[in-house]
Amino acid sequence: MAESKGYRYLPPQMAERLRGLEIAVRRLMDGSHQGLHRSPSFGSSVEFAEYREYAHGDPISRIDWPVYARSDRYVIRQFHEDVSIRCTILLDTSASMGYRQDGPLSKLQYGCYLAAGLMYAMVQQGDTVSLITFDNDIRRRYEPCGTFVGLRPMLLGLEETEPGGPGDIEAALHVAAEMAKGRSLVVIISDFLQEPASILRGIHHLHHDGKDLTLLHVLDPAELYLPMSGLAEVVSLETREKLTVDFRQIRDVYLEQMRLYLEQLRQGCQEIRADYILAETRMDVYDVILKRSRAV
Amino acid sequence: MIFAAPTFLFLLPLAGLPILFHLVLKQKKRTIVFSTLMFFHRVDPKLNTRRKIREWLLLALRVLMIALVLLALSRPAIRSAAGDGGKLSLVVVVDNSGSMSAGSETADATKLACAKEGARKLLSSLEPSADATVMLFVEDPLVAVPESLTTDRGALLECLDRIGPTEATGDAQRALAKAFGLLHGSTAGGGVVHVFSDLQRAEWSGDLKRFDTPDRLIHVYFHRIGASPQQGANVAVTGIQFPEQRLFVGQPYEVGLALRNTSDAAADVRVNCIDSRGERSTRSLSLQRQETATVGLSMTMGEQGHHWLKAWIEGDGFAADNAAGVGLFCEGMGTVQFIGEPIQFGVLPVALSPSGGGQLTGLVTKFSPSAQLDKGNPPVLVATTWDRLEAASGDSAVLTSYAEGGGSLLVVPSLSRGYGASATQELSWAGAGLRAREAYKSGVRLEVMNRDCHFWRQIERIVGDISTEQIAAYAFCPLDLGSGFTPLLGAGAGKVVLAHKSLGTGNIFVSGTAFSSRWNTLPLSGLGVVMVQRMAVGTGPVPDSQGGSPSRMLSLVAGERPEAWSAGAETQILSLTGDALEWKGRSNEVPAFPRTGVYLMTAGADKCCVSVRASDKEGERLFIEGSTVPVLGPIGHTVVSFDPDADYSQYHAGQARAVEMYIPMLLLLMLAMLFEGLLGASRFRSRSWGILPVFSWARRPCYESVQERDA
Repeated sequence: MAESKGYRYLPPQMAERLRGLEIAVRRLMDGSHQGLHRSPSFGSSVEFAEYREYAHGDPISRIDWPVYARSDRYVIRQFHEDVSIRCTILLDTSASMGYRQDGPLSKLQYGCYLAAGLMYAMVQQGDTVSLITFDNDIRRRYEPCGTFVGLRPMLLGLEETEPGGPGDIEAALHVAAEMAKGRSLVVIISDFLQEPASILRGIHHLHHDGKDLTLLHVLDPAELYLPMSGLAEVVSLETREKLTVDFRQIRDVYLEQMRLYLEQLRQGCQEIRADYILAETRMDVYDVILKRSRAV
Repeated sequence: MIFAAPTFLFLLPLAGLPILFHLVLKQKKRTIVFSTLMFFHRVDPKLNTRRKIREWLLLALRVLMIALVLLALSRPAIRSAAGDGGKLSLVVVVDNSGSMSAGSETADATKLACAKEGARKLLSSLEPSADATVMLFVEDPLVAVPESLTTDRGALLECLDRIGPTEATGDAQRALAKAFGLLHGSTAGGGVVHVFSDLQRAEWSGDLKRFDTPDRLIHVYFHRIGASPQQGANVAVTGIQFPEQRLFVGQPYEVGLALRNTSDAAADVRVNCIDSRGERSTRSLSLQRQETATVGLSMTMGEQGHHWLKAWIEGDGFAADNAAGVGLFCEGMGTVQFIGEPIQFGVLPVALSPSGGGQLTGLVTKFSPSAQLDKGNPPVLVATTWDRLEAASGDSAVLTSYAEGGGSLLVVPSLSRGYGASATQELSWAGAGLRAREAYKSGVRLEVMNRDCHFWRQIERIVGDISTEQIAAYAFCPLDLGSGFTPLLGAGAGKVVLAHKSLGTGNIFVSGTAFSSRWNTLPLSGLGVVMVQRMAVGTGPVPDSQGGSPSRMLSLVAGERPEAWSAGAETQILSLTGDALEWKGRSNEVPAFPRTGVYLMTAGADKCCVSVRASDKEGERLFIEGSTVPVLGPIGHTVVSFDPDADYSQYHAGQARAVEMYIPMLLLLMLAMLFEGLLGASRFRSRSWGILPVFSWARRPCYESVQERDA
């Protein structure tokens, strides 16, 4: 734990709270090391899986002789394999993530806390984790690591992350899907400020590749509740587009549209059994990670 | 489009104020950086455009509202041609003023006859549906004209027949205002006024005045009737000089008739006169050009009551300004009441009534020991002495009340014992005091003081110059005068001997000298006699037993109406001479008197004798020649020469009622206000974007709803 001391997005108190927290997956994962997560392959764990007929080439020592004695058949006893998984965290660093109005942190800062916390939790349970930042394309990719030492560059990299660039979540997810081969856990931390249909196309791509998906939807309270009032010229963080709006007049309709948008997103995730968690930037980061931990 | 009040159109640029405010006082917008505009576009993809459209629409509506208010105030109207279903409204004004009794230039008839004929033809040329009426330039109680527009041609033509010449000057302002009022009172604005007149300058060239309800929809046609050349000079009655005193039975009084030769030729005329007793007199008179003269007409009244005298001029070229009626009220016999013994007043009773029976002066003397006055027939003068006032304090209140009620009171030193040569007693009453007697063996000259006062001016009219009168006083008590007294006679060095004070409607005369040859030479001079008689008959009303005033007299010029006459009371007018007039109505509706005569107006106990003379302006031969009639100001009018054979239907083409746009403008304004209100209302605005109404269930914060499901 000495390594995490002094990281901006992983303060010691957070690391202490995350100790012992398990992040599970819903789907069978690929893995090369003994771990906590069940693999689709048979391995050497103590949990019986099934019998199969002996085949040439199988070690004779694996023949279940008692069964042969009873049935005069050569069968081999197979056991489930528990592996450590690889987790890929996709962090949205588009310009919109730099927004902060009512929350204590910008959405990106909050996302960095989430990413750091998750990475720490994954490593401390023996899994490997990698970090990819994106906006409308992949911006930075960190090699997977399974140790706290290996986590250091990613934690330091988070501190250097700045919001910028236009966001295109779907495009970035397509690229990420090509990069992260095999069955693994993919956690996407973003504000998902794009049309839900577009986002879900990217999500489906990852799902199709066998990824266990978790969407952490980071939003500022101001985006959720629109507390502003009066006439104002609203400037988009990403496109610099301007629009004159009377907040008082459109609040009700805005909230309704926001509700529909969140519902669409949540529904889309539910269909592919992806975990969807709405994280308001004024919520405790630990609570959000805990929610993910308990989700499975 | 015609505007009745176009002044408001000059304010139309004010309609641009909302634009100015929009540009200058534009609301400062905050700039807020937001993560995305996605949801705003989801609210309405054309949010910005719609907002701008709404803003400009609001702006346009506000500009429209101001413009509509100003347009409505400018009273717009659309003229609807008669051919398009419009209905003609027409008022015919016939000038019946005195000048119209002269001959016309185009026909062998008077101008009034031409005017009536023209009006007759005009009315006959109207469509049966047209509304019309006839109005007189000079009100004439003998001619009943319709009070509103009518389609009854027969009644109008009958009315025309009754119109006769007057001796009055018309009031163009009043006549046109009434004509416009009649048109306004019809069901729609606009209309035509036809005036048949000689356009005498005295009547039509007054100052530009604004009518109460100027109407650009009304057009006035003047049919100018030219005058024939005048034969001979013209002498007009320019005034009546009434006797400035109370009138009594049997006394000859002179009424002055002021005349003026208004022409540029010498005039030889006769002034004829007839009075209520049938006495006639004639006097010849020669007047040079523009010369004035006053002819005295003598009149003696044989009994108490109203009497009249009618005078007229013969022998000049124009008759409508030649006559005058004079009404007078005779009081019968006047009583002079002396409080005290005859010996106390010296020759004063004789000076007032030489015979004592009133044969010479119309005054009867009466002596009484105390101030007991006959209220039913109050004396014209009460004479008393200083010491009587001092001795009988009760008299003071009675006499003060009498004087305030219009009586005349004279206080003189008593000639009885106690006021001999050695008397030094000092007395005072009503603010005047009597100092100790002064005696001068050789006499001291009494001087006239305040010669310009009304008292002396009246006397000067009778006796001429009074400055040459030599009046000496051998004894007198100088007066100490308080405020309100006007010294009349003095003995120099501030010693006032006779003074006057108005008290209420009456008079108080205080004297420091008695009317005795032992005191002064007044009894021996004509001035002294005239003085005391003026004190008795000079001024002041005579209350009658009903409390009213039968002696009130009023002098009017034909065409004038009595002002401030018993407001609101039921009034009856009877003619003593002149038109056979018998009129009843409210006092504020008393008609103008169009012809000379003497009329008695009665309202309860109030009576007023109205003397009417002809208007001397009517003889002036100055007429408006141009095409503009000044008194109309900005109101559209056309002056045409009267043509007895004219086709009057030509004047009806294009003239019709106008449709007032005032109400439609107001309705449009209300509509604009409604739209502005709806567009400006926030609830409507949020719905106007095509979003479904947001109900309460939908207002639940979206975050919470998702959170609940997540939980």
